[in-house]
Amino acid sequence: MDEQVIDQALAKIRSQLHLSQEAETEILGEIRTHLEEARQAARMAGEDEGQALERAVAEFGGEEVGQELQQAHAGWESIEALAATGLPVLLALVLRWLVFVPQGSYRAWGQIFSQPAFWGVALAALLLPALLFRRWQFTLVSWGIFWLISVVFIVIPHAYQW
Amino acid sequence: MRKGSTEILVLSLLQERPMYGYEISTQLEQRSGGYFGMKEGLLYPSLHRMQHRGWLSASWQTVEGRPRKYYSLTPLGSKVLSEQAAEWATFLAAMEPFIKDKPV
Repeated sequence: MDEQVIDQALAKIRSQLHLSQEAETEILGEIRTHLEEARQAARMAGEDEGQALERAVAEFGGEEVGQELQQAHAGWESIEALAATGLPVLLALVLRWLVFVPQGSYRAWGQIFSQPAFWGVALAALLLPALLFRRWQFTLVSWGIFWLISVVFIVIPHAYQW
Repeated sequence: MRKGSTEILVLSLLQERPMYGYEISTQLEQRSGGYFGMKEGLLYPSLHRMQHRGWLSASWQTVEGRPRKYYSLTPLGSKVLSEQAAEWATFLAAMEPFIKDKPV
């Protein structure tokens, strides 16, 4: 019964959130802890279980809290999404330049794998998203796709010219 | 609560030690004799904004079987607190001549 009341309170807040699954789970987990702590405090102050929970939920707030949380996170998620998209593209562009521009031809591109700069950028491309962004898997997929497109659009036209 | 005051109050509390949301909420209420009480849930958007800005860092810890998200002041948060405290001190000093000796 108690869990049901807390779940209903969390559902009201969740109805106002349009964030990533991960962010919503963390926010709601934090709120659940708050409600349980508040209920416990009210119980220790002498209220019965039902009253304590009712007070905890009422004092916390409902939809208006969800709306404020949405506003607090939405801007940040947009910035993070832009950075998460921009960084892999930037790294892919650097890699593309390292691989294709110095030699200027498709024939020589295999030699790039012996250059430390290539491996430095490639390693940064793998590590930075993992360190900077919570949804780093998407960043790596984005980087991989952009890099693949770069290779395909440069290598294939050169191959046909051979 | 006055606009903009939540941040300085929270930063001041966290200057003492890391705290979790419910603890911050009760400390605000108790220390101000209820004056700085607010809808408890509205504290969290402020906390999360300050975390995004890099003023606070957060980490989950399990205490007495309950997961709690503890917030700590970062060096940037300390700097912001100093600046905001100076602004409030200036504001209060400027107000003082106008409200001094006025009947309440």
